[in-house]
Amino acid sequence: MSLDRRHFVGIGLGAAAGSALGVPAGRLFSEILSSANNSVYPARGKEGHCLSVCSMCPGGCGLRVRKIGSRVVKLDGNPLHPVNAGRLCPKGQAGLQALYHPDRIPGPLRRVGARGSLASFEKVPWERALEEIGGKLKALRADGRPESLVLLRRNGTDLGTRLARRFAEAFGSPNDVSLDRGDEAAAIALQLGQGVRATPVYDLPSADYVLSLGGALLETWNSPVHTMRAYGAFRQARTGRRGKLVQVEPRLSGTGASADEWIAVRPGTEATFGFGIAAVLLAEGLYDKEFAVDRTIGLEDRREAGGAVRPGLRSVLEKHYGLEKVAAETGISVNVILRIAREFAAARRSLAVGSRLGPLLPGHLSEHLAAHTLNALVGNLDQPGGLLLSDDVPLAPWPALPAGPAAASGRRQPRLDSAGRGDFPLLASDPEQLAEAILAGAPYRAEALLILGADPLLTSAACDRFKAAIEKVPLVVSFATLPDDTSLHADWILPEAHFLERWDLLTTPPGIPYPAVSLSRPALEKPLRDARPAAEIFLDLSRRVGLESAFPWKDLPALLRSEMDGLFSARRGALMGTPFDEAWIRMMEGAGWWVPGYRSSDELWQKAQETGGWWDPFYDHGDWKRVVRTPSGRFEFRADVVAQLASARPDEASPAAEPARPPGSLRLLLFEPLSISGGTGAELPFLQGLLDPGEEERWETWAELHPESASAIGVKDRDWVRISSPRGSIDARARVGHRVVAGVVAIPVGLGKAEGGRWAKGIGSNPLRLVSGARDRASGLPDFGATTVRVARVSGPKRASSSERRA
Amino acid sequence: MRGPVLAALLLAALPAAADLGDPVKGQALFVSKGCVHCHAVRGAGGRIGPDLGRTATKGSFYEIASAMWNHSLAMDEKMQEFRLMRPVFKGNELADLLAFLYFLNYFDEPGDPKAGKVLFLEKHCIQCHSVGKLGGNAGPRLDTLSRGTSPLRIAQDLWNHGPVMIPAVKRMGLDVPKFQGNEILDLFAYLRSQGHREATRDFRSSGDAVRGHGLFTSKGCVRCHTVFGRDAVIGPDLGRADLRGSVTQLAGRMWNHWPAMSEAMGALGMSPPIFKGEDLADVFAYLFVSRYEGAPGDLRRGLRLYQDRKCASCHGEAGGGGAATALGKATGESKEQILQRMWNAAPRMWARMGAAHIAWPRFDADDLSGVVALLADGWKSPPAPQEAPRKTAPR
Repeated sequence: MSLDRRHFVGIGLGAAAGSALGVPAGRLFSEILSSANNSVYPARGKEGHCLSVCSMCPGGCGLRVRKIGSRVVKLDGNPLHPVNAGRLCPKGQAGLQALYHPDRIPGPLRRVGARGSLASFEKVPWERALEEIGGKLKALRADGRPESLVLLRRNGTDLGTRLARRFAEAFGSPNDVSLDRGDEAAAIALQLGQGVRATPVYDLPSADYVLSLGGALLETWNSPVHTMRAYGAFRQARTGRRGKLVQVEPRLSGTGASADEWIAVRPGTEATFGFGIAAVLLAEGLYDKEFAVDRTIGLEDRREAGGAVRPGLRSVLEKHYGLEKVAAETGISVNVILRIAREFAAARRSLAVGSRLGPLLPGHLSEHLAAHTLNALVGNLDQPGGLLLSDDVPLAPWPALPAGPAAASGRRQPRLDSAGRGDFPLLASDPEQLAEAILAGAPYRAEALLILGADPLLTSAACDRFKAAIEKVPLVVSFATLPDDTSLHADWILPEAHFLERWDLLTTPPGIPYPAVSLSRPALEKPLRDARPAAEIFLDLSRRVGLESAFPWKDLPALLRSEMDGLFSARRGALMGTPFDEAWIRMMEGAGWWVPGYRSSDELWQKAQETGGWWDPFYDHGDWKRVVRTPSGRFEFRADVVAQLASARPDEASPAAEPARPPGSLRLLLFEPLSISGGTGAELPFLQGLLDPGEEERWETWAELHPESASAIGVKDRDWVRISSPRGSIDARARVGHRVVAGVVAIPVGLGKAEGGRWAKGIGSNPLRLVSGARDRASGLPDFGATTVRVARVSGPKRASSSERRA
Repeated sequence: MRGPVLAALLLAALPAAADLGDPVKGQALFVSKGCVHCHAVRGAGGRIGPDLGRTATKGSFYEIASAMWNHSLAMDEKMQEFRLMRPVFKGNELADLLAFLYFLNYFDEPGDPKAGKVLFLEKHCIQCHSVGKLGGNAGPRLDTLSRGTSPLRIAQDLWNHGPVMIPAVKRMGLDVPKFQGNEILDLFAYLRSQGHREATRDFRSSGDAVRGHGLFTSKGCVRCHTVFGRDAVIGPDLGRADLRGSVTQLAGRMWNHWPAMSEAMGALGMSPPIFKGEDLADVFAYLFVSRYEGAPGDLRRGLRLYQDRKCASCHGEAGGGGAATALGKATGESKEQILQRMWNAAPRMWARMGAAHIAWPRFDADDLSGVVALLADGWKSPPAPQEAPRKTAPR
């Protein structure tokens, strides 16, 4: 065998990196090197850079893409982009691996065999694929059944997602269902209190004290890099003021490890702790009385027209959240609860944060409601250091949908997932119920299912039900870059272009306090592997289906350009720029001036491509009409919901002790590591290699157990265990330590894929297959923390752990 | 919906004669050349040097340029201490940077709504005007503004309100309110903070300096005022240093001037001007641009300084060169280009002057304009015999 210089260096790199990542030396790199279309090393040609936006998670970080010749060789943060200011997380860096992944879908695939295997698909030309799919959709519409089209999608602000939603609406379907629900519990809490359905923004940089009721602030928060930057400002950016972070959670997460104090409550009692703090604030008069009188309603009892007394928050908290009761339930001493409450009240700008754990795990409504209640009690709504709401992005609106009786009739039909009505009126989407409705064929049959960037067979709380439901739908089209668990069961797989291969315009990512528009240009002349941007596919389909008038743009740049015109007309904001520009624009706009740095719409368009986009960093605090839209015009302490939550607590009847469980019966606690959050990332070897820095676990699923829990079932550290629930069972490697409280088994979500390419397939286990299907009774969201599992020691697979391999 | 209104972006409407740099490019240069490491602009930026939004840039082009020149040595020392590169300018960069620094003074800092609320009471505005549930109803409500209303729009409304308001105030036995310092900023900030964010943003002036020049004439301002004494005047020369400031401060002074001006105009058979649409922004744009250059440079002064500061010892008696570069190259260049060459040559000058035990030449604005006039002229126009120098010793 001859060995040229390229292969020699490649193998050398592979050996080094492979060793560092805990995989057989050289295998990883040599696979990557050999798998790409064209040569990796050395890239040839001139060096160049272009700007893009990372789509590895919904965080919306700006990218500076380094190219050599036609090859992308490095991703860095765009220093001018306000979300990440030049920083980039490992997941973003690994976006390069996703671009050149050897198992990317090679082109449009049509299923010709049994579901569940890539071998059952054949490649067809784009024209044929779109003609067949468009023809079926057109027939469906002509048949007067537009409502039977279902869009199941990611929750993105990218152009592809926005066009897909418009396509469904223009088609006449009410079934626009989002699978990503990480922000839903927080949004519902906001809706209850402020009458606004939006993702709350927490102003960490200006806060002095943060009480996090289980929020994964420093891991998988809405926009991770932005939040980590904000956390840096919270801790270190102000002379003489170092913010304090208190993390309340049963598992010591990365956030807890960085916090000043970890309060290890019993699982599921974070909200109880929060309401306990609120009760202390009220009992000791430590709340903002002026704010409570001027801006809120529902704090005190009210006599209604009929004479009945409607209990206020104070009464409800006194009744259900007495100190002793809270202490017994949470396992935290009265002294600690009192101390935290007084610290929270004494800090200049205190902020409470709910329990969002990642894009898939929204936490419970109760925890977000507790946090929201605390913020209102200290008057920290729409104030610096408080809970904020991002303003709308002033993009030029798309033309109104053309009037059509068929489409209008379809849109009036009930949603298949029943979201927004029935038992759970607060839900915006209910994918699990969608699966049930498809299976039942009621209230009507689903004839076509478009799945965009969603993998319900991996990440929903009803994986098996979805698998069965998909088989009931005559036309299932999956849009994916890499094959995933769901696409294997589709009829068609349309390869979506990687984010470095497409034009895009993304609006404000969730969790960012200011309106921002990120403009992304393709880094490659044309997509690899015969892929197309989802936005382009929907533009094409719209013409084939007869929806041209709803999509009047000739191509994507024309669409983006027309949207950007609205930014110029809005006469606000500026191009993305340096921190100095940010401060300058903020100051100018605060004084009533607008100095944008562009003189025309054309100049804005041109310069936005050079800087990364547009934004408006000025936040107008105290805009009550915008941020509070309740019927009363005031923030509403929802004592009724708090009372409902309190009475539903399992320990409400006998709060004195943790309920007794048989040995080996533990509460399932799920979490999302950053590298595989949202069910994506496991397909990339670099991210498999850094699954959990704390436990140094890689390339396998692990289960964290408290020593007390482990010894009760005879499990030692690194033993293999089987975790079983009535829904199923998975195997994982036990990690025994004090990172979790007793009575809990904590397992990461994101592994256990049936597909996803060579580096994900068959690696680890998916704990979502264990969840009970229980619902958070207040919100209707899946209650991912309500499952009790049995854990037992088993003999594991004959595969050494990463640390054993290193040893 | 809230958001700032377009206020004054003057760049698109500058008269050609003003020969200004591009402030927008200047802002980028302020960052890219590293100025921001040491200097802040109203709090944004470094803290090593003075805040250029508050101290060093209150003045004309030559006032800013002389301050920049004079601090050159101290700046070099600081930059060496912090291991920063001294900025070197090329093309039109210095002109752009100076234009940016000049326009800093155009814009106001955000006022203080709390102080404005106090002023709203103390100046008796509340007796006639209401904000929210408080106040009288003799005058229009003042909480109906857009949150993003430009200060100039409020100033224009206030000015136009004068003919009605001032007699009414006098009838009530009250003093006509006058505004000192930042008071008018604070008052406007209060009114904006109480405004409706949903209100239409109706003020779209881009401060057209050319149109402003026409208005300055057509509204009759020119019959009483001039800028840098170019015409006969009755009222103060609006180029005077004590009349400078941000446009809102200027509006405050203009308002204070209302009673006296009204009388003077009455004596001339004129009525006080009423401004419509974007008139006031345009007039202020004209004034602001006119002040950029300052008074014209004095060749004689330049020649005297050239000799006093021992420029001739290196550059030759008539700029013909010697130990240092011949200055004839500067002939015909713009003032910005000449200053840029001076700035870029400063390190070499410093080394030679140190070796020759010559003090670093410091200039005030008049000095610098004289020196630049001399260099631009290239000794072609021999000045008249020198008078007694106004200033001889460096500051």
